[in-house]
Amino acid sequence: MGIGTALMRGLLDLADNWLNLHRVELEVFSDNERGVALYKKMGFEIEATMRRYAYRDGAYTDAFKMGRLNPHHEASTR
Amino acid sequence: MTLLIRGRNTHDWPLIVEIIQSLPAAEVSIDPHYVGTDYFREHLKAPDNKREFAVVAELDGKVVGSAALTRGISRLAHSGEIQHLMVNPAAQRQGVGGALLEAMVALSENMLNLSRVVHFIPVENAHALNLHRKCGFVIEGRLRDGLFRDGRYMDVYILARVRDAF
Repeated sequence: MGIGTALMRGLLDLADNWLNLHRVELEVFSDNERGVALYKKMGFEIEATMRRYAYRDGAYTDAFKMGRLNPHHEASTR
Repeated sequence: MTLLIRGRNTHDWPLIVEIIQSLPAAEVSIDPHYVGTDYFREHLKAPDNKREFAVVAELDGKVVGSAALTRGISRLAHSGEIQHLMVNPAAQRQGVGGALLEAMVALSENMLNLSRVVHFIPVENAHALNLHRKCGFVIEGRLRDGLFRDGRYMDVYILARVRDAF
């Protein structure tokens, strides 16, 4: 169905084209492979592995911090 | 030289503003020239809850540094974030920053029983990175353009000190 993709496209259209944000970031449990794959497809990169980030179902679980820079912003802004 | 780390009181705010005013623009997220003292008086009040902790460092009786720790909530309640660690440039290289960092770690582990403590620092702050490494922090990653200061973006390290117990 691609609902997740459609939702992400909507959010990133808002971020890039209406709010002109420079950077969008998110946290995702590192074992959520489908989530990570979706975010990579939308231009996010894994920037950090956060150990014992959150407690989940009886155990501390790692999470990734993923970040994406506005594709309209060139490296000149850095 | 006597160094004392103690809880921050509401009346400490003017000396903390003095520190912020003496730091280079690239090291502060707020430009004190454009922020009135009303703002600082309000935001540098002593914390009034059990999630936020703030301390100052007194060198020979004068406040020359400060730091804060905020504990997570809900499923992040085992973790804390160090924030606003700063030392007056006139008092740097005397172990004040290290003492503040050690105090935040001791608070996290010995009083709050946290197993994860994080601190976000600009990658260009090599001195801070060394200080954290000595204190058992490791680099968990690098956030691209994670911070905007003094007219430009900077990358930011996530530094964490994690205990695997329990």
